[in-house]
Amino acid sequence: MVKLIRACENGARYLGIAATVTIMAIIACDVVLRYAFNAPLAWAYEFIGLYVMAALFFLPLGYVQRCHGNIAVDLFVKLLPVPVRSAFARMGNVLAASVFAIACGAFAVKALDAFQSGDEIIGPYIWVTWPIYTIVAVGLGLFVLRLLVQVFQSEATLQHDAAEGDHGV
Amino acid sequence: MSPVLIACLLLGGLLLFGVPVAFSLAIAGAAGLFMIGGWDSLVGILETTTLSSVSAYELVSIPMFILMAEFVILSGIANGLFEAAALWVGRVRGGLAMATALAGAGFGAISGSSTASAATLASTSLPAMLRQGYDPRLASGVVAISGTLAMLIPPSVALVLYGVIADISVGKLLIAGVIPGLIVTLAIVLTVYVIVLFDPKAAPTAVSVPWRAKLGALKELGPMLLLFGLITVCIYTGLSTPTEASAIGALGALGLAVRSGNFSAAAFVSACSRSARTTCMILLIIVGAHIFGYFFTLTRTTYSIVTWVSALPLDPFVILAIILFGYIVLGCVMDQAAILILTVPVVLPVIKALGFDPVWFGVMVVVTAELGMVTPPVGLNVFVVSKTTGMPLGTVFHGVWPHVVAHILVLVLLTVVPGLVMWLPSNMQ
Repeated sequence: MVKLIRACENGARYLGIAATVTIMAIIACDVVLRYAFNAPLAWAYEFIGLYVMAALFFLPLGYVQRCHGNIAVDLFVKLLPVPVRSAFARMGNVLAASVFAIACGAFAVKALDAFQSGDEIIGPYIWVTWPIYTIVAVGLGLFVLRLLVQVFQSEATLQHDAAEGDHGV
Repeated sequence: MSPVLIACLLLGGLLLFGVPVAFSLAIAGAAGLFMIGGWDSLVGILETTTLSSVSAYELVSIPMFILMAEFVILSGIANGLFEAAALWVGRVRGGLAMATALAGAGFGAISGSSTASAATLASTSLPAMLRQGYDPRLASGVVAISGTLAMLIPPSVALVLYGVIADISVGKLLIAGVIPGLIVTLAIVLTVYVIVLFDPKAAPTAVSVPWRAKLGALKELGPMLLLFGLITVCIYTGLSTPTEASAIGALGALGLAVRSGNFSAAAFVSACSRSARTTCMILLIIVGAHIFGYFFTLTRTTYSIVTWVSALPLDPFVILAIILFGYIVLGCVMDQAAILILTVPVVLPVIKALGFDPVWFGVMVVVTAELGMVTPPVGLNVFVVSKTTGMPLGTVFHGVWPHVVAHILVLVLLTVVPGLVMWLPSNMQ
């Protein structure tokens, strides 16, 4: 199960990286086309804001948590014995998982509703909304799963995962 | 106990016990929202804020500037910055330390990451200074403080973050950082000059370098100057928005990485992964802060604080000094991104009510935050220098203190002459 979550996190991370590179490419193309051919990509602004930013942020959340990428004020807690420190970290994970699980559930329901009703954002272009909500639900789902997995993982495994993130692999 | 008090205590407790900042904000905010509005209110707000917090188009410049910094590091051009600066000023007593400040400014001009800058300088300029017999305190202190210049000189992730949170022009903020960035660079150089004036043993002189070698070194700086010029000129002239400039900058930095020969698929994925990690960390704090901020808005807490502070029988400059002092204290224990996201929504309305310009205040906050990067006990840049070089933390902290004093003097100067910050943005197209 943990291996499956890890594989999903890695897949989601690569999609997040693809989203980052896509944003860079789209905006650069937009600027070049605007000045060279007076033909900007009119859809770029909405497409990036609606879909790609969501993918860039939500999809790698599980991977980032696996690497202990979320900063904390560890000044005082470092003075505590390791088991106590670890207990606080696990408690924080459970509480955070509870909050983000609510958001994840809400977006999953929203995605289903949007898919069934064919919900769209109508403007100069028409954008279907269910993929946006699905991206958010999947990203938050992986994040919540990682938070819960870490509650049961040993200190050694947690340290190993954190070191893996330090090398950006 | 009121819900506000409970939520604030919960937030403080969670932060104190080492729960990540983003989680602490989200948990305390969610608890507060549940207390005042019940389950439906909580679910409704989580459903709205989670996505809306990160879908603002202006936020795109944060991942792009971070990505640009990663590609710049990959290209290795930052390593040549110090060598070039050293050829020009290395002959003066303390010249290598001054060159480190110039290289820090140069790195800041192509990257918005303070820690990346400190790590790069620590691996390039510090060994060179130690080889020449520099006092380790002077050498490590100047590296740690020079790294912070990246926070101020455009492209600055901290200023983008401030602009997005404060809802003010990111372009004006980035341009506003140029002159203060140069002033801080000069302050570091002058501090080194004063240190070696009183303690000549701290830094030896070096041999003279022929003009040919000096001019040859400038060639190395060409790509860096081009990248910095491209971004700054595009933003200043209004040719492109900061978001567009950030994406072009990232693409330009990718081009430099490919040209350098250091590029490979693995290095690319590694750079992108580190970029994703930093981006997600910052954006998750924004999400948490929005949840907590929603709770503050519903309970009218921000409004109450603004009303209370505005009614205090104190001079606005005294209140400003107290606020900036608070930033220095917070900077000693918290990450700068977290501080900005946590405090700006509450502090900025107070600043506006006191009659200060939000763009000017943004630059002041970032200069103050630079202090937080080098002051104990957290001082992230000091840890980076210590970790990269194996030098004791105490040595680095000791070496950084003269620069902290100089930074405070710069803060006073920018307060007395706000035109130093506001002149460039007020002339923007």
